[in-house]
Amino acid sequence: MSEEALVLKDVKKVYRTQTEEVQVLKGINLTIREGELAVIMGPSGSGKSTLLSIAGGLDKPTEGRVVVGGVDITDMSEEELAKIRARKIGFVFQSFNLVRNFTALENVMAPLIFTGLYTWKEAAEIASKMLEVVGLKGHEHKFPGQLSGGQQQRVAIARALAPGPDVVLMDEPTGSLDVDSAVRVLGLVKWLNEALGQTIVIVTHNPELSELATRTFYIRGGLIYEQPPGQILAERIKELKGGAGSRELKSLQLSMLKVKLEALERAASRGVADPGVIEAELKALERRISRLEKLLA
Amino acid sequence: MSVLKLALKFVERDILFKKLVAALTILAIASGVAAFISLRILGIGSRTAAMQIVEQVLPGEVLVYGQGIYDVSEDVVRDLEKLPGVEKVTPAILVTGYIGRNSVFVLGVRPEDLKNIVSRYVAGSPFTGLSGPYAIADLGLAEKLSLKVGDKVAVKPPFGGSFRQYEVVAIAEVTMKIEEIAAAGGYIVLPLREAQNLLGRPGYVSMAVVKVAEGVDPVAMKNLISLIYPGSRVMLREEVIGVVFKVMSLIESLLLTTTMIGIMVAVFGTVSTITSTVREHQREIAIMRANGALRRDVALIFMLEALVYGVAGGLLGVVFGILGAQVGINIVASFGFLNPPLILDVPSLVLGFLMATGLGVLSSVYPVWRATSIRPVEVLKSE
Repeated sequence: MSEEALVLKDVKKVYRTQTEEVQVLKGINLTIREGELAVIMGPSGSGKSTLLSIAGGLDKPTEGRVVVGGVDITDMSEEELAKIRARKIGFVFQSFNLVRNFTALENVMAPLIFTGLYTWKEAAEIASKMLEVVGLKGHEHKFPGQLSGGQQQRVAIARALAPGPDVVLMDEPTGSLDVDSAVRVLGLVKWLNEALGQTIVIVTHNPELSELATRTFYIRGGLIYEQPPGQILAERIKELKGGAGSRELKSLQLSMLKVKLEALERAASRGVADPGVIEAELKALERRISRLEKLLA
Repeated sequence: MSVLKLALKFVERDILFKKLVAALTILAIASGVAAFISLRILGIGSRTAAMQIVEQVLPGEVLVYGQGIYDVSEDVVRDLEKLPGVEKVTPAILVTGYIGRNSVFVLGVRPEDLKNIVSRYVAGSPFTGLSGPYAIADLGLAEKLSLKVGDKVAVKPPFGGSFRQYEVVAIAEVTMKIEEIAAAGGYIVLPLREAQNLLGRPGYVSMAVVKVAEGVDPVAMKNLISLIYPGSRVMLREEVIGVVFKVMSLIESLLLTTTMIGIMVAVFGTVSTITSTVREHQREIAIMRANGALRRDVALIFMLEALVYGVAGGLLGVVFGILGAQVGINIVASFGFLNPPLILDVPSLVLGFLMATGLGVLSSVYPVWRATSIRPVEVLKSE
């Protein structure tokens, strides 16, 4: 049975103003297992982005618990959350949000550097491979302004995936793209989920995205509902599972996760992080490595 | 180290992407530091030059003045010579007078004391008597009035309409180069008695310079003279230097105050530049925080940027400061008053550089606080 990559237990979020209280989330229970591609849909103002912020440790729930990759992040301080985000959570936003002063390679390297686990050389090697995976080999030294919207979003995806996070959270990843670029990016997202086994959660108001999902959720009135998978999805999955290069990618992912495992073990031996958190991360990582090794066997 | 390298790359591009703003910020810091360093170097050079002049001109450690301009009796001079511990007493008259319409310093000295005020004879030879209608013209004065050896000059005292005529027996370089003081155009050196007669004060001098014997404390001598002649003004040579330095310090303080305003402007400029950088990169800060950057990582980036401005401004300021000091020295020297040497005072250079660096970092405190206070969820929500 798959392990849980992201768990939200009875999460509530209330925004208080001077005159009123708005309960955006009214008790969300959500479990995303490793390797899933979950799409959460809902109209504007339904609390999708709030849910994503809470799941990603950018915001705190008013009530409830949030567990990412086996680590309960609910009561962590801002700085502890930043460390957890660096190692366990990847973000992809609608507006790409790349750092203009960094090249594509440096943008992908940044979260690796922020983990404090990797040397510059290790980070550059991983980032370079990730850019290759998302089809941007040869664009490493270009600045965001020199890339198209679709290419920038692929850099953002590479950046989110580089630290080998337990879960990648995407907020309207195709919202700023033209139709062709959106299709390419979605194809890449699905392919990465399939080939790398990367857990991905997408929030969107675009119903077309649900066709790629392994699970689809609807959020309305502060509550979340799950919808069974449709026919189109099953067909797409079959097509993508047989995709070329899948085995090579799994090997690549395995090698990168092993680098992360070594880095985490180094961090544990140096005592740079909380031993409980490191232990939980090591377990989650070992599980992912073992799963990938089985798939490759 | 990797975070530092990443931060450096960010800063490097930020400065390259907004060259003009960066250049202006660095120039603002550099100009403040340059003004500070120039003044310090010029001040040190001027003090050194002034000290050398006073030491050269005053052939003794203790100076005795009367209450007026020239009312030290020669009897007092003779009595001073008899005091225990006194090696030599040099009487002198120093007043402003006129040659035609030109203001000059009239210096009356004994022939044996000429060596203390004249460094070189350009033409002619010095007078040898205590009286006689002879004069030595300062080289500057001679050039100004086209005087030659053998010419006659009519010298007027500062008060009254009388004048006396003297024959120029020598053109010389006078050590005490203070022609510009009191708008005086140069020196005319007369035998002591002639100067007294010109002023209508025979038997009186402006001052007596007392040289104490070896091993005698000049302060003790000053106290002794003050005790014997309570109506006199007695000063140590160091006090004269102190008075000169006091005046110089006052001028320097005024100029440094102006410099400080320049430095404050540089600080505000740097604060403004870094604040606008933070505002410009607000979204990127939020995304870096979302990607795991700690507050200290964000702080490092913007402090580093301010530090780069400070270091660049400091280095440039040191160079501009030295050049500015050289220009200042040339200007001061052109007045003919002082010829200050260019002394590259290392503590001043280091202080200027550290001030630029420190102020650069200090300027980043507020913007860095703003940068580290950014909550990614609030910035990214605006999407």
